[in-house]
Amino acid sequence: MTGPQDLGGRRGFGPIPEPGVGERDVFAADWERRVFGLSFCSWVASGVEVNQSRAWQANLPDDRYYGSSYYERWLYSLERLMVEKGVASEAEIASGSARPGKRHTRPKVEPAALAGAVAELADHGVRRFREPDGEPVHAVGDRVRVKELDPVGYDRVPTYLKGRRGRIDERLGAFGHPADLAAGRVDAPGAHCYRVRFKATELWGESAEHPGDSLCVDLFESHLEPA
Amino acid sequence: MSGDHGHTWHPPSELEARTRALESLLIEKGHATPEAIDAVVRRYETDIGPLLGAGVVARAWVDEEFRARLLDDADGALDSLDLRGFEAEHVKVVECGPKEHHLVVCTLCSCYPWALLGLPPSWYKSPAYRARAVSEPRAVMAEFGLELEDDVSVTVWDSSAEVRYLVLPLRPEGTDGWSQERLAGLVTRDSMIGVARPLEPRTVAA
Repeated sequence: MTGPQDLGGRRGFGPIPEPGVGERDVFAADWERRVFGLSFCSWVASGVEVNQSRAWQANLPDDRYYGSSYYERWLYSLERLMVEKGVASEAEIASGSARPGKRHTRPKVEPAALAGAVAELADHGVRRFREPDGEPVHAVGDRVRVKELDPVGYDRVPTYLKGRRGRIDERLGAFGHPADLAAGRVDAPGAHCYRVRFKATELWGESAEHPGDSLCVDLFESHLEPA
Repeated sequence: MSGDHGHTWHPPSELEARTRALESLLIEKGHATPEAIDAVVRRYETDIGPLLGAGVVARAWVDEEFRARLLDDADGALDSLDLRGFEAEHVKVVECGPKEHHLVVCTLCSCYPWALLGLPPSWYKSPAYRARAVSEPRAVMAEFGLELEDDVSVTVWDSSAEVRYLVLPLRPEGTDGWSQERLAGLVTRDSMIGVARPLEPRTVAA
């Protein structure tokens, strides 16, 4: 999906803002802290998958995406997902209070157990591997080309790689495909993932900074074809 | 300072009000609790941060067996330290050398090894960094004050799937015989993303 989030190689954003600011500039305001905490709760209590949040953000029009701060986009995607998952209605989101008698999706974890469950997620993470439904097609050393298609759904192929040729550096195993995860198909078979290395000159031509430089990126089998 | 820089600054009151509304609604519906929000915020503000990654780097500098395992099988090495948390379930550690440098970015969002470095800094999430780190990494590093010689090759790592990246920087000269703890004091967050070198030994108190 080509959207405003697909930033690699784009021009016009100017210098890096405040490079080298201290180690602990994590939240700029208290509401950012709360949005982060609420989002984390939603991954445990409301069955939100991170790729679903990313997909909502990627569907924003350019001016809204670039005109919003990082946690402003988190807040927006969380509001949308709470409606999408039947946790809250539009009217409830707008008013901030529940309509009496209204049915809503029950939390997956009892409120009393939630603090322990979010700490467990932070400390031990989630299962990312998925059982694949076939053998990997590409082998280490194979030459591959990134397909130029713009598939429907949240597929996470950076546009700057499309049509470019690289070499398989490593086979990474099978993970949930982002398009499946973003669509809520969390139990879909795993998709084989590969680390692909590209020469800077293949990506940027004469404007590459240095002919010896390269770039590595992890791509799924559906993104690649033999070159 | 906003999360991103140089953009329309929305009145904080609107975002604060929307956040407050959503928070009270989700608490009322049992999908969040004040205790859970506080627990997770505290985790990422005080427990999970760059000191964890710095400890891993310093260990690799003093323990050759650990370094070899970290580069070959980071998941196993980090498991042994109980550091495979959320957003670092799968990690690749990339080692800088005298003629080799590495830089980490996520062009599609802001993927980052949370369990090793904490939450990403503002500049890492900025459109400028996400756009430019892949096409002009040397110019970007120069803005951080890191100028690389022409005989050093750069590899950029765009974190587009489930693996997160940690840079193992070159151990500073003049640190022979230093303990792991003392070395960890030289390892900055930025040096583990690749936009800086570790601190010089003379810049830290003995």
